[in-house]
Formats: sequence, structure tokens, C-alpha cells
Amino acid sequence: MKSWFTWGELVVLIAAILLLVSLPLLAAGRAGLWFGAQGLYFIGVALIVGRYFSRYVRD
Amino acid sequence: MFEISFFEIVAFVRQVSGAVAGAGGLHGWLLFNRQHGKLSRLIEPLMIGGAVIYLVAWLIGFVGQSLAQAHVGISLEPTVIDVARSYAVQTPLAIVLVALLVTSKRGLSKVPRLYHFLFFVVMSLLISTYAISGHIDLRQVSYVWHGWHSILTLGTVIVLDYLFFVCRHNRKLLARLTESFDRFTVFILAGLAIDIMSTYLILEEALRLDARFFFMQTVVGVLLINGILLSGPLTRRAAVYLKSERKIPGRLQAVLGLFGATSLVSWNTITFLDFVPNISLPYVALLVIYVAVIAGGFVSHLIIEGWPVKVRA
Repeated sequence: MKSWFTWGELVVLIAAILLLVSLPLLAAGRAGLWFGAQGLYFIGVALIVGRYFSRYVRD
Repeated sequence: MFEISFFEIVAFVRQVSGAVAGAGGLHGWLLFNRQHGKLSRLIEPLMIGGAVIYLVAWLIGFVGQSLAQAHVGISLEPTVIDVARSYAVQTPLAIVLVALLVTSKRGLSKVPRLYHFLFFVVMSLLISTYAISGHIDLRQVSYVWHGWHSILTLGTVIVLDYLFFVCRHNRKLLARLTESFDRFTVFILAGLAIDIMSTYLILEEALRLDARFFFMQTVVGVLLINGILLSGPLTRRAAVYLKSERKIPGRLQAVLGLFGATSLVSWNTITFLDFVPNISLPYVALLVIYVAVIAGGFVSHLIIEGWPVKVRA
């Protein structure tokens, strides 16, 4: 069965949800989750870009 | 509540049109191959139109003054001197752009790929130099990344939506476009990453935790969730129908329209608020306006598709 998301998409999706969740915490002066969400976003984008270019080179 | 100056609107128009012309050049250049040549040709009017509007806005800004600010709610205000320096650097580039526009009809018919590439390069240089700090420092790197990323994000989203719009009655072209969707997604997500990196360079002096910041961060979260769902499961589902030359079901088409409208409105919202900073509405009011504009965009999409008379599937 084909999965709904690629790993990169899933990581970016989680990062986006964490970003939204982190905003009330950031307003309360706790920025840890906000920075964590941004870091996770970079990992997700790296996975998506890596997957795209590996397919591009293979094809 | 609203203090929108004429030059803020000019700066917004300049950024959007520059991003569209640059993205038109980039994707026209990359798509210009045997399979996607027709798509590349379709981008040309958008690219030329974007460049003409950019030049007009540039001239108005040159005569007056314009300021730009960083995206995702984090503000980086170039000084008036930074902007004045940028016009000195941009003047020869603007002359090159005029030359490209004047020769574009002949150039795009004889050497289309080269012309797309030249438009991309010239627009990249113009949009990256909206402010010059006078030193090669982190602030300058931030200006360059911040300006340029709009080509990958806002510009790419508009080019993509435009292509879907002009191809909407041609199932073969729609299938080609859907096949290329992951390429556009890579550019958009990488562009947002560049924007976030550019803001980290100036974070301490630029981070203001106000209603505008939280609203724009909310929009970033929404557009990421929206973008992943649109470019992932929804597009893959539509591709199955298009590849087998079947009609896309009306419900899926409507959902694709809603997600497309959300993407377009979200990117424009972020860019607009960046260039029109003096809007001091509360968070909830900004959110209500944002949702209302998305609803308006979606209804417009339905009307274009023939609703309420008929919905094309």
C-alpha cells in the first residue's frame, strides 16, 4: 500500500503543527519549542530536497 | 489602525512583480525541454508582465522612496541610506532589464531558454539588492537572502497557480504540470528555509513579539500544512486521474481549489504585511480578515469554474 506522505513531507507537517503549538508558549516567554519546530522544518526540507535530487539524478 | 503609505504599496507591488518575473524566468528556463516546452511558453506573458510592472514600481520608488522588511513577521528595516545605495546599484540593472524587455519578442522566439535564464538572473540581482548596507556583513547577507527568496516562494506559487489557471481546460497539459508539482514544492520549501535563515542572521535586533509577529507565524504554519497536503496526497490523487485520462471528481477539484486559494492568499498576506508594517489590528481581527480573504479567493475560484451554474469536473 502506498503511504500518504513521504518522510520529508511528514517531518515538515509535524514541524508546522509544532510551530503553531509553540506560539502560546513563545508568548509566555518559552521559545524552546519554537526553535525546535524551525530546526525540524530544516530537516524535513533537507529530506524533501534530497529525495527530489536523488530521483532527478536517477532519472 | 491603518497607516498605509503610497510607497509601502509601491514596495509591495515591486516585490510581488519582481518575484513573479524572476520565478517566470527560472521555471521557464527549467521547464524548457521536450516534454514541458509548452508550459514554458505559457509562462512568457506572466514573466514579461511582471517585469514591466516591476520597472514601473521601481521608477516610482526611485523618484520617491521605498522601504522593505523581512518576512515571517521578523522585521528588518533598511535605513533610507541603505535604500538610496540600492538604487545606485540597481540603475544599470534596470537599464539591462529594459533592454531585455525591448528585445524580448525576438529573443524569446529565437533563443527562448537563454532569455528565460537572463530574466531570472537580472530579476534575481534586482530583487536581492533592495537595500545595500555599505558593508559585506550579516545584515547585507540577510537583505540578499530575504529579497531573493520571494522568487522561490511567492513568485513560484503565483507562476504555479497561473499555469493551473491557463491549463485548466487542457487535460494533457494539466497532467504534465501535475507531474512537475514536486519540483515547484522543492523550490517553495527551500525558499522559506532561506527566509528563515536570513532572519536568524538579524534575530536579536529584529524579533518583536507583537500581534503581527504571532499572526504571521500562524500563517506560516497554515501555509506549510496546506502546502504539504496540497503537493503531497492531493496532487498524487489528482495525478492518478489525469494520467489515466479520467475526470477529476468534483469534490477533489473543489478541495484542490480551496488549498490553492489558501496557498496564494497566505503568501500574499505575508508579503503584504511585510511591506505595510503599520497595521496595528489585534490578532483575532487579522485572523478573521485572513479567513475571509481565503473564502473570497475560494468562491472566486468556484465562479471561474462555472459555479453555481455548473461545476466542471
